[in-house]
Amino acid sequence: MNAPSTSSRVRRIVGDVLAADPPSDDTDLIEEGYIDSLALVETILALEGEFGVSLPLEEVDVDDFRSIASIAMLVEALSAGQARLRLAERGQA
Amino acid sequence: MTGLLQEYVARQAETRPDAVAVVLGDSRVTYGTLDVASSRQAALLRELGCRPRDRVCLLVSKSPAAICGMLASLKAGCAYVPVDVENPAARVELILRAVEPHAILADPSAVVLLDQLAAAGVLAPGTAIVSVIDEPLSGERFESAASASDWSGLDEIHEPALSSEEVAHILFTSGSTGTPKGVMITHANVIHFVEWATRYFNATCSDRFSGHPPLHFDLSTYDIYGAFRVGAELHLVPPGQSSLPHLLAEFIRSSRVTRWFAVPSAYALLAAFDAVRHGDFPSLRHALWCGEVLPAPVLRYWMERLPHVAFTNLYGPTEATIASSFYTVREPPQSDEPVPIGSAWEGGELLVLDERMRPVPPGEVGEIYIGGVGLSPGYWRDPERTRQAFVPWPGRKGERLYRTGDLGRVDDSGLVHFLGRRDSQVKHRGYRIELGEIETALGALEGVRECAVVATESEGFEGTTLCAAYATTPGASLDERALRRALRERLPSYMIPSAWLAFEELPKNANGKIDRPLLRQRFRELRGNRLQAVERARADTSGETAGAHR
Repeated sequence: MNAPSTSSRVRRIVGDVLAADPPSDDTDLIEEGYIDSLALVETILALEGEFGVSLPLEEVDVDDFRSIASIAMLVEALSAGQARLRLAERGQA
Repeated sequence: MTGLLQEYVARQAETRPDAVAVVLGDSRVTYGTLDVASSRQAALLRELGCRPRDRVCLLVSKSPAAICGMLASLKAGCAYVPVDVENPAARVELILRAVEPHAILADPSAVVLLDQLAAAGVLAPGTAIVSVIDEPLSGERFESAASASDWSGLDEIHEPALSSEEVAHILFTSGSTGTPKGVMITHANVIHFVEWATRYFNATCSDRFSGHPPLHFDLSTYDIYGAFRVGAELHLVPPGQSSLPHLLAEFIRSSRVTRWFAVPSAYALLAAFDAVRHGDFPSLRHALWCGEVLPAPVLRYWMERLPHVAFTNLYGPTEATIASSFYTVREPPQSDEPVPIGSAWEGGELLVLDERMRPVPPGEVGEIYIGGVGLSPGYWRDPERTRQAFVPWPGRKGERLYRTGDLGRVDDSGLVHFLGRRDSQVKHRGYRIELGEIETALGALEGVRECAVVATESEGFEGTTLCAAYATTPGASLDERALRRALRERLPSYMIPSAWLAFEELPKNANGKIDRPLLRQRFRELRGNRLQAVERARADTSGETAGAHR
């Protein structure tokens, strides 16, 4: 199976939520005005839905949302970390 | 020089009584008829108890009868107050309570409104309703005291001797607090402008003036008295045709008007529907606009098609009578930057001052102030707001300046450029942004028929949220995403609006201008809905484990 890469999935979600097409994965979404505080929350929600990860708002570091590349890195790290955590929880149960 | 506005008509009636004064559709009224009819109607107003300096309200659709009613009011020594019959009754009520008219001139278009006003108890027993048509008017709760057939047999009035400093009419504009402000305009205010414009535009009795704006709008003052000053014909645009692009173009064509004076949205409308042909309107000599910024692409469209026409931008608020400055555009604009508002006509002054009311150096932004003979005496029975807006002129004893609330800058050649409203300047992500600048860029995009950019407060890091409302031309498939992309090619990123709403047509206020407070309200609701959706979604997921989605 040819699974789409994390960054292309992030790109699609961000594009849909923001109704915008950042020119590259490294575009600074905040500096370039693509994302405001409300859109940030909406983006987070959409990412949670798409990747099945949990992003508690109070723990979100805005810097992680600066670009599609940084969001993709965050999502991959969270997926791996939270998957390990779930395995650990299951192991205990 | 004429002292009172009605003398323009009397002079024509004396020398050219059979010349046509006003045309609407198939009906035409000559100067002779207009002068006699208005004098008799004035006699009736006096019989009904109207005294000099009383107010007469006009609830009459744009027509020769409405203009006759204006002249009759003036001949009786009264000030007339034109009111849009399309206004909600609640707003008309505020106006009537403020001006306490002795008489209300009305036609069938006002019957529903008059009934509502009667129900609200606004029609005081001393207020006479006069039907301007031959038949009396009546509704469920009111009856007219007299009609046009009642004055046809009267002798012409002997006009009271009044100074040209008397108030000729009171025009209501929207106030930021929601209470409409009544701007008092004297005979002299109008006459000064008309005399200048007659010279500048070289108007003669062979001219045909258009009458596009509604009569409660101050641009119409120039159409009417500018035409009467020289004995020209005034061709009123039938009310239903004003916003239909191809009919409007056909009106300009078939009426053979020589000067066309309209708000920019009318120009934009014809351009958006490509209703102007190359070399169209061969009779037209001058095209003027005032009231808002005319987008450069729209001006280019008109100028390229009509090389035989002179295009003049007029600028000025109602408080300074019709217009205070002018700029005639020589060549179709090359860039999309709006054309200058120019310089004051003689008798007026246009100044760009800093917050301590000192002139700012060329190139720097300041607030536009207006001085001179166009200045209204102030707002009707509102000394507080009059004091705030009409301020003493530093260094000129006894003279006043009107504070426009508009931002401008003077360029190296001394021309003033308009930069938007002072109160439309917002701080967004630390940048000082003129909403007008974003609006201009958005409005210049292909397929955008009209747009407005407003700011709403935001609890987030950006300080304010920039919000864009837009309507597209028919057939243009433009969405928020496409507009954002196109705007990014023209504006810095911090000026890209983040909230968007598409409209069939942008909401307008009673003066026909875009209703910005209502738009802000709509954007607040939009944001509220988005926040609620976010909260609901978070509430839904909080009970579940993070992995349960997949």
